[in-house]
Amino acid sequence: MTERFILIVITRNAPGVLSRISSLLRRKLFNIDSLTVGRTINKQESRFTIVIDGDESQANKAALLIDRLVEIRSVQVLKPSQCLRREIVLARVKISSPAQAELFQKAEAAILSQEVSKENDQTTIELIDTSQKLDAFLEKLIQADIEVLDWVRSGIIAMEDPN
Amino acid sequence: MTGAQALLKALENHLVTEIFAYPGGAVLPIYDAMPGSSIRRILVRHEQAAAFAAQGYSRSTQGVGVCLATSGPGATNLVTGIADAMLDSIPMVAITGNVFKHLIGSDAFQETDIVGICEPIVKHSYFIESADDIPRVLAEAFYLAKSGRPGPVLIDIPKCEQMAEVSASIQAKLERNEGFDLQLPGYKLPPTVNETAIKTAAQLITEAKKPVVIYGHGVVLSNAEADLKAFLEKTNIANVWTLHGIGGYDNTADLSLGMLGMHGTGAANFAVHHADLVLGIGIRFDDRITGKLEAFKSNKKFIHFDIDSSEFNKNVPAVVSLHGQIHDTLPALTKALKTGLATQYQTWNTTLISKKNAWPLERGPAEKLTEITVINQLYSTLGDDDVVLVDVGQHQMWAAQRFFPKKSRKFLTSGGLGTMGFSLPTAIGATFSGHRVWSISGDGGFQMNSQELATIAQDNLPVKIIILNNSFLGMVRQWQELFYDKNYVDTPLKNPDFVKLGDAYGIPSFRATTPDEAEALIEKMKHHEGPILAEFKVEKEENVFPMVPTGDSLGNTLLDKNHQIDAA
Repeated sequence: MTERFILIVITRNAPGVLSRISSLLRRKLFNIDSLTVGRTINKQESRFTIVIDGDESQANKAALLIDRLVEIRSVQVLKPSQCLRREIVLARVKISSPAQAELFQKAEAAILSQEVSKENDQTTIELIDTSQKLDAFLEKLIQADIEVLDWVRSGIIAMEDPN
Repeated sequence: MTGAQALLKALENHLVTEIFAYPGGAVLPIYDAMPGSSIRRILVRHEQAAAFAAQGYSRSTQGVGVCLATSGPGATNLVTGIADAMLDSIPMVAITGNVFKHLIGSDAFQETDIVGICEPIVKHSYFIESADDIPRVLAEAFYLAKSGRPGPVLIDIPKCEQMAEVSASIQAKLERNEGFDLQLPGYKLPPTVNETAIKTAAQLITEAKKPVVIYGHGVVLSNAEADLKAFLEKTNIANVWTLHGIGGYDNTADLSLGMLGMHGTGAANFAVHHADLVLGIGIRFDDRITGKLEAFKSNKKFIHFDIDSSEFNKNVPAVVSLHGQIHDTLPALTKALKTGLATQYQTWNTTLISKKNAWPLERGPAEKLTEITVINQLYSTLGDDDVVLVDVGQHQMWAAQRFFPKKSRKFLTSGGLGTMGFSLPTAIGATFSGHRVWSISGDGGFQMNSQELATIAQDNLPVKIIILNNSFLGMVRQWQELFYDKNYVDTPLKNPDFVKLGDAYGIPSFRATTPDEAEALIEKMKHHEGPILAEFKVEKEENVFPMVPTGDSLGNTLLDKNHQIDAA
């Protein structure tokens, strides 16, 4: 059964690490659903959050293969339910009527959001939530016939949930 | 001191005495510095041969071979040899020049992204950003190549960093031959022995009725030959081996059943097919040994020893995975076992020995010259320290079935990648082991690197070159015969006169066409100093048996065209 797994990978902050990891996953035919990377509090390290589709044995296999790369410090395999997950979206929309404005406000209220720029009828907002909630937000805009001029997602970042 | 001089000094400090190399524009600063170095250059005639010669050095000694090539085509010519080293876990350091840093990415003349190209086929790779990094990176490269699961490491050095002056402190450290601190914080060496896993493994062995050991390259790479011997002699478990396991244990012992797999012996394939417990020691359960995986896995349990945890459960599920150096895990298991298991396995072992006796390997017709004849003749004349390199194809399998060297690292071949043209250039590197070196190729594979006759002649390298000429790409022809109705498309070869070819390079060259001539010629080769070439005109359409057709089960091993082991 296809599920989703989250790999949290700590690496040396060195050139080429991203390419080594992504090309490894490609050549072993894993499906990457999302991949994000950034520095940790230690400037020498990078932290990857990789979401892959596959069963648990495939996720563990991917982890072992990634861990074999010389610059990898640690790999953790987690189920989505074991993680705190967030994704950020920047969305620029065009509001054409007061009715749309009302629906838009309602959708915004259901999610952590903030207006980052506004010019005439174009509004750009920032949204932070789980991927599912962000999908639901987009769905609401489509249903309200609100024109989405631009839409960018960051990919998922995740951290183990202590609970 | 320039980066180029620092590179050579660092190589000397790592006790490198020769490099296999080919010059070119992007390595000129290194070549310019070479006359000041004690390192001997072996000038190959194609960079692929440099990579294979470096491997030959690594495979036949316990050292790390080094090859060097220029940027662009020089670097890409190394690729096959690097991929081959990766698949066979051979330590090697490959050094390439690249264009000036300010030209990188501009599609400059002879620029290629060799680090990118090689990424899937190296253990690790480096692009040198600063000449000062060269000695540390070299130290890391040697360490990575050799430690843990060995493999090739690539160092790409742009020409500007070969020319740049290194800092005074780096120069001083190099001149004093001081160590450089490795910066490998994430690199993990295999763990120590897991006692719980050892206990479980011992329990499984104690409960087994039909156990068999498959051992492979890991035993050799881990220098665990004596540990394997102690284990097998204490437990009396029957053993079979992979292509790279040859020589890891006494291949002639009663319970040594032969090589396993597609061209394994009937007894070896029978044993693994019917076993209730398989101990895979330093093997990766490659498709060439398992045959049909479902059949291979069924009705048995596995204990898997490996240094690389990503090998566990890759192809077969193991009840116990013993992660670590085999020279640590195997003695721990031996110690945990009681004696007297021989009685428990007696019925099974008796069956296996009777199969081994019932299904001997064919010897070939006495009156005709076949590859089997030459291989048997050569085998009977070999000294204990002789190194034999075979190429890829029918002769490789015939030799693998029949060569039982008393030591490991004596039968060298391209296992994982199966590279035709392997034998001759790899033999060049193996001559530096100081032992007598025999290179066997077919007429097809020989021509993939025959330009190396020039290298051998120029340096008077003592390679005894055997060409088994059946005027076919024999293994492909065999498949065309058996599975494609003898549709021999592009497998018949019109060959040059190999004796004239060898003579043209100034190498004494001879031909044999009968078994008697062959015997005399091999004897002559054995006692000849320096390089010598011999062409053996052998029967054209012989087939390698036993054989497991692709995708079939080991239980359906064909002993010959008409007999399967489980029906026999």
